[in-house]
Amino acid sequence: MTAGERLTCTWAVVGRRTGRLTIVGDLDHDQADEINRVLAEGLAAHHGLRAVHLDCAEVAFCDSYGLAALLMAHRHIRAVGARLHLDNLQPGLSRLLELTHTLEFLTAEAAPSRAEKFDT
Amino acid sequence: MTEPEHAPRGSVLEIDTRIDTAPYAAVVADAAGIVQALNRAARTLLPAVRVGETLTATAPAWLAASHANLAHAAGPGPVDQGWVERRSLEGHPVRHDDGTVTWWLVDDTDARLAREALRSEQARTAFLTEVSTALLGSLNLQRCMEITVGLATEHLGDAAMVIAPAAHGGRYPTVSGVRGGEVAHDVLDVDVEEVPGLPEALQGFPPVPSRWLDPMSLPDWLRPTGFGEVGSIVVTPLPGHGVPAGALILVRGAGAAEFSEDEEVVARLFATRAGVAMSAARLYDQQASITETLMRDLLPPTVHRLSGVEFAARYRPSQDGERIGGDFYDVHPASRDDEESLVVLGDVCGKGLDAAVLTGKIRSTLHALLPLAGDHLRMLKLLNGALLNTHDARFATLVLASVARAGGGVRLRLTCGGHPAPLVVRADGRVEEAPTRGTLIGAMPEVRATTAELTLGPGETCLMYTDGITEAKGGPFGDELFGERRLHRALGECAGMPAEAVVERVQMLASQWLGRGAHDDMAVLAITAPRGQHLTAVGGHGRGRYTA
Repeated sequence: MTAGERLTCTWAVVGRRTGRLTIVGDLDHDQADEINRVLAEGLAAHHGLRAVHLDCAEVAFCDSYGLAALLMAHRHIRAVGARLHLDNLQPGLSRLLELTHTLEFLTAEAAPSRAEKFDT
Repeated sequence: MTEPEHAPRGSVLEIDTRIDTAPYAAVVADAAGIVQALNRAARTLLPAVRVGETLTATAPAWLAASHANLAHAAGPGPVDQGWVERRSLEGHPVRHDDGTVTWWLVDDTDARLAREALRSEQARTAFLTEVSTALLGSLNLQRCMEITVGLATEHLGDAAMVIAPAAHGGRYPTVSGVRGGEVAHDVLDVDVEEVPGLPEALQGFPPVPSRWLDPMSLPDWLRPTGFGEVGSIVVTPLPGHGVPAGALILVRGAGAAEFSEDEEVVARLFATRAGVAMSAARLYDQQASITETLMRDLLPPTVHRLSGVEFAARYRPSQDGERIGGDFYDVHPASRDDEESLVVLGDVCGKGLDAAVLTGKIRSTLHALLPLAGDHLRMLKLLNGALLNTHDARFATLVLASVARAGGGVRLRLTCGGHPAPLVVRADGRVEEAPTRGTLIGAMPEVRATTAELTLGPGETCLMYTDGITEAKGGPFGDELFGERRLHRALGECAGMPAEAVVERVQMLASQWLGRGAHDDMAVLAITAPRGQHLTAVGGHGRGRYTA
């Protein structure tokens, strides 16, 4: 595929229990894994997070591989007991998440029993 | 340093105590090579040399020869080097006015050994670099074996054979060669037990050291053809990536020196590199053949007219070898004309073999679930359950379409699982999105989906496609997506066309949009109600202008 907008992910802890991953670029099959690499480092370095916000204001494109990366990010975040928030969704990504019924799933309040069943 | 100048010519010289106690050996000889004096260090170093004797008779030959040469040479005389016992000495001649020469002998053994070690280390590094470069250039096993034999005969032995682990019913593929000759491929049906150490080397475990063999006990098949008497032979295992890559057999002729310790080390390092390259090539071979097998099974079926409904499909795989097995489609024909056929089109997220395996799993699971095709949601839920796994977030999106002839038209039930909704091209050129939505399959514990039911009038088409079409990146500036709007517009121009023409046109437009750009898999499948001969078949859809 034609290389998309270069993806950069920046991790920051913005509150005592809140992390934020700012995603800039295309979530495509060449680069989407980057979000989980940066996220894993961030989650490992800060224990006890309750919420992780993925700021998607600068995500112009997301393909199915990007979606898989978001689902994986969801697993990582749930695994540490935090909730995923998707901020500033742009129309393209928003539509993809609706089409696949994933928006609700990704951002749902932690339902421990189900989440555990799924994550283990 | 003071020379004993007062002593008469040709007689034994007294030696100054400052010279006598110098840390380096000094030997004074006259033009005829008769030793005139020795200091203490020289007496220790060269006990045979005596005052009054000739250098030729008592000193090391190289020193005597250098001294003799000095008589004919002008100037201070060249520095010479030679060995005494195991010490390396540098001889520095100093001429005197009376025709005598003092040879200062400086021990440079350590420096010389260090220099030699450095030189052989550099040669070894150069050789191993050459080996790596040559071997890494190929992922073809045969070629790797040839290169190994070629390098081995050039640098290590007079003849070499690489024997690979048994294949083809217990026979051993081999490549062998003699220095300067061609390499030969063979498949040998031999008993490796005849060669001590070879079975272990071929097994790769436990690791065995290189093994020296008695040249007399060599079986004939190991004896290189056109090779004289064998002097020494060594079997070295070729360690691979956890799998044995075979064994390297090095042979030297009877006249050649045996392998030195250093050479054995180099041979082992060489074997390691060759083994890694060969096992990488073998793994690649295996993977390529697995991929090919899977691909063969994954090739989309030929789609045509079934039970009075037209089907047509196009599939354009991504050229990126990693992306095999992304898109798929299947048509499961009904057993009777009045029953529904099931059409599936989907897209598996992921790359390479993982994606191919998941695709295969989805297709066979859906095949098994065919009896339940009356309830798409149930089918999707069961499929989802079968695909859910814990170690990654692979998923698939797909569309199920149950298709049956109904009067002059075609009745459709469509259900999306996270996939772009199929598009319906009405007879008047309107393009509608089928009102179906659903959860993608294989990543989340719960699946919800709505099924759309609709009817195609004669000449109307339902198009299922994968996002490879809408996400085709290209256009005038090469960075724009083909997009849904363009797809809608293109389909609007396809009203009334047969299924074949619709898929051809969509595929062509997307390909043109791409230009030379790389792309994802692209799949399109059209279901078309054939244009009926009966006006009644129009069934209220469209204005029926095509019957005019």
